[in-house]
Amino acid sequence: MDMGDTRLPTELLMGRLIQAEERVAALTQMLNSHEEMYRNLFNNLGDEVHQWRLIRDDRGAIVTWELVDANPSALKSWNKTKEEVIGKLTNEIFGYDATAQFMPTIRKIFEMHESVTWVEYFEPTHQYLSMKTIPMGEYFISTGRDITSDILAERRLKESEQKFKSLFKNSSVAKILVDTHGNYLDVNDSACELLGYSFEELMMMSISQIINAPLQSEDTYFQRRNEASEIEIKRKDGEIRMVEVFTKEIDSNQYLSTLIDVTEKRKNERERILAEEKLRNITNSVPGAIYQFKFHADGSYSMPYISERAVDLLGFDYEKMMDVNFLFSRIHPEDMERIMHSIFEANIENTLWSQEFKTLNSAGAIVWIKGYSYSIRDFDGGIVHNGVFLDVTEKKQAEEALRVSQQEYQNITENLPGIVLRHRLTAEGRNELLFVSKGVEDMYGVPAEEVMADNQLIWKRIPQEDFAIFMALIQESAKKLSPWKFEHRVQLTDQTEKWVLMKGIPFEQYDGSIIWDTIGIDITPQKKAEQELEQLNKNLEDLVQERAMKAIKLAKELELYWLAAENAKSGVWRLDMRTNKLEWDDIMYQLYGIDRKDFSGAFDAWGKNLHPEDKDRAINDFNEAISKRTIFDSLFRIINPNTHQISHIRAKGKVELDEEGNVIAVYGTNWDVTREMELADEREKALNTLKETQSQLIQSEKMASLGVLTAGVAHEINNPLNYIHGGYTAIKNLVEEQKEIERAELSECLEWIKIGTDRATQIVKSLNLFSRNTNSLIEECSIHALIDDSLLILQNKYKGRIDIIKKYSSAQPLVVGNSGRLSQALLNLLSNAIDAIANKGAISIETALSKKYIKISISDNGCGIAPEIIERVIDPFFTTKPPGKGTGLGLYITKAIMDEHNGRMQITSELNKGTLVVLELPNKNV
Amino acid sequence: MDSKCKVLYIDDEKINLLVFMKVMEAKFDVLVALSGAEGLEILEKEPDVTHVISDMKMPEMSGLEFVHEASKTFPDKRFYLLSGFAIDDEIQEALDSKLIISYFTKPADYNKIEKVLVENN
Repeated sequence: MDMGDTRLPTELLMGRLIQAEERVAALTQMLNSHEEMYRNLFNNLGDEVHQWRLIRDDRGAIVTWELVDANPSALKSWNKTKEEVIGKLTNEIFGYDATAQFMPTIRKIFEMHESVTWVEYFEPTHQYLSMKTIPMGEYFISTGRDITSDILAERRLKESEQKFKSLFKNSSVAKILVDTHGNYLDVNDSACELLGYSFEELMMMSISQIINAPLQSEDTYFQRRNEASEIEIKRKDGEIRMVEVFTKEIDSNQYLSTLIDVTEKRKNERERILAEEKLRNITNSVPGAIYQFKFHADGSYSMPYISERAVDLLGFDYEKMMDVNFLFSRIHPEDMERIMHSIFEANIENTLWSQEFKTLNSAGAIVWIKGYSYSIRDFDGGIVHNGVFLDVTEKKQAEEALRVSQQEYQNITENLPGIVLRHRLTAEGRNELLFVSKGVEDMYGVPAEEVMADNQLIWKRIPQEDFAIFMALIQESAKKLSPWKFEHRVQLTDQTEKWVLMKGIPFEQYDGSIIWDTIGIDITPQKKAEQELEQLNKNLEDLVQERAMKAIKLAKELELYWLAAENAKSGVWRLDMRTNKLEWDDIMYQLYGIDRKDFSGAFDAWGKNLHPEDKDRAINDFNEAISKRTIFDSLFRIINPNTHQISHIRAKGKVELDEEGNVIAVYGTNWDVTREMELADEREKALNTLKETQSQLIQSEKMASLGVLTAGVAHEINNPLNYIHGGYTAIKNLVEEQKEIERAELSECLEWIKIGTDRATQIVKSLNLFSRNTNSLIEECSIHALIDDSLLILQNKYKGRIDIIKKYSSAQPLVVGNSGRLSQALLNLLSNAIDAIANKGAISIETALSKKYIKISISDNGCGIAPEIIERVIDPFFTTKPPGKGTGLGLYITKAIMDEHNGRMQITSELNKGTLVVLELPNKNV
Repeated sequence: MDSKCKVLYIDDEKINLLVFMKVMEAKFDVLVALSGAEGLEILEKEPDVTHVISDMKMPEMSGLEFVHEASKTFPDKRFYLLSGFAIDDEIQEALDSKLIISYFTKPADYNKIEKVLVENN
């Protein structure tokens, strides 16, 4: 270095210094403005900017990094304040291992000393970031731009493109993509199939080549875009197909068309139209209206179809007939409810609907409609009735006319005197009564309803021999199909007899049976007149004959008469009324015990001999015969004036008249009837004696049952008495022999006394029933109690050897009557049943209630009654028991008791098997 | 002191047996049975029974039937009947033939029974 230079001007140095200082100031200013620019940029940049400082380990390897600064965009994106993050490690800031995620990049930039740009998804902020990191000594700066939305949009676009491609390719519907010139850009498999060309072939063609020109042009194809149109296309094989086309512009110059083959559909439609036409023709050729009626699931209804012939039904035009509400309004109000109800019922049941109902036609007249329909459930939940309406007015009118005429027929038959009947003889020979008029009740005494139920009721009224004739006549009528006539008698229940004339006409039926329409009339009066006339004729003949015989006889008889009179000790007398002279023959004098010379011959002389007690009566009888011109017939006593003996005389006489009818004489006979009178007296006495004996026997039967009773009661009562007496004796012994009596011992003895008293009381109570001596029939009697009491009394007769099986009715049988007598009846029957069982056996007692009767059945398995005597068991004094053991009055009395209670008794028996007695008594409740 | 003599009493009514035992047990050694069959069994087992009293009316076997039966095997016992019925021909016959010693009637007079039994001891 030149020393001389060092002394070079200071001024130069100063200048240089100033220059340097100025340059520094300018640079500082520049730096400051840069710094400010950077700051502004840093603070206002939309991208995130953050500066980090490396942290290294001992060996200088990068471990992690801490934040030095971050701009507002970064803070916003991280959702942190500056204070929260400055000086913090990256993992602390994000609560996430960001070190691991970014370490490879950081190492790379520091190895290469170059900045790196990349895109990465940052999980803590859910962002796709476009990142740039720049190394700066021990620092690095990262910037990041959020490109999340861009990435997602891109991805969606890609997906939708793929979707479209796939849809297009795989669609089962033909799809084609064409440009504005109609050239194919793409077609799918379905389109190839529809058009009959391969993909490659189509790629060489335009749309116009497949359209069946000149019907439709290419223009229509495009004009109609965004709306469906139908075109005809021509396949490669020349086949024409109907296609529905829907074209849409999906991009400029690109059109997507969807082609749907509707060839089959169109064909079906055409066929359906033809079929409908055919159906309409058929339905219109059928009388009546065919319809379809539909109930929808929502409750509404409609009539999709009714054939045109509907106009014939009611005289309304077709328009009106198609209105279902109008049709309902034409149903006659009387039938409306029934019809609606039946329709709803058919809906529920899904059955055949068939109804006849009245409707009103356009003129307001009644038209009978018969409707049939079958309902089926529709796929949409509705119910469809397919049916037909027929006009059945004529049939109905005919039915009504028939009904009226039948009613008239019945009215006539019911009001005719006599009966009208219709009966049938079946091919098998069975007689059936089909109809009989009410007159049958008058004629046969059986109501028509009962006869209809059982025709035997009238045939039974016809005597056997008449019925046989009837059967023969019927057979003949059936054979010749000729009318028959039959007179027969009818025996009515009241024993009167009627004559009935029946006339019938047979009709052979298709089934081989024969029906007779028959009338029957009561011809009893005619018949009676006929019979009387016949009798009269016969009588007249007999009379003539008789007279002749009489004349011959008379002479002989007169002779015999006197002879007989003498022998019979019959006296003859005659009183001449004009002379009052009484003539007697010899026998008369003998009868009266007087001499002829002592007799004055006057009428009064007769009276003198009569017994004073009989005189007035005898004379009265005589006078009465005269005044009434009748036979004198009297019975009186006379007194023999000499012996004062009394004789009984029977007197008979006849009046003799002149031509004018005046009585001129009375003549007759007297004979002695003393002997007969005495015999009659004796008979009466004997009868009285018999009656007395009988009543004594009845009494003795009562005594006998009383005997049964006392024997039983004695034993039954002696046992309880034994308890009482025993109890008493025991207590007495205790009292006498022991100073202190044990309570328990005393109480035991008292218990015996109590049981004894109770039992004795019960027995005495049941006995009261039998001893009651009243004739009243007004007590309410419990049959079960009466049976039980009777069994108690009879206990000693059966106990230990006979099982008593009681089958009592659940309801209490009550009878109004005399309990004493009913008990006697039951006692007799039970006693018989017990006696019928020699050793061991069983008696069953069953009671049952019906509305009117109480039934008591007593059965035993004892010796039974022989069939030849069963009729006689009820007879008084009939007994099978050894002499002295039975009076033979038990059942007789029992029957009498049943009779007085309006009851019934029936006995059935089998020898060695047993006997069943059934009693029926009127139920108290009736 | 004499041992009490043994008496068998047969009746189908239980209370009658109880009463008899109560009243008579002071004087006698009383055995009881509800039926003739049971009575026969007791007689087999108890040879020192001296007196046998039976009810007349019993199911299965009547008192008299029992006495007939029992007297065949045990002719040395003294038999009596005690019944609510009056004496009939059959019983009279049994009395006459000395088959039974006495016929007591119900209600029983126990003093009399005691007396008769003692007399016939």
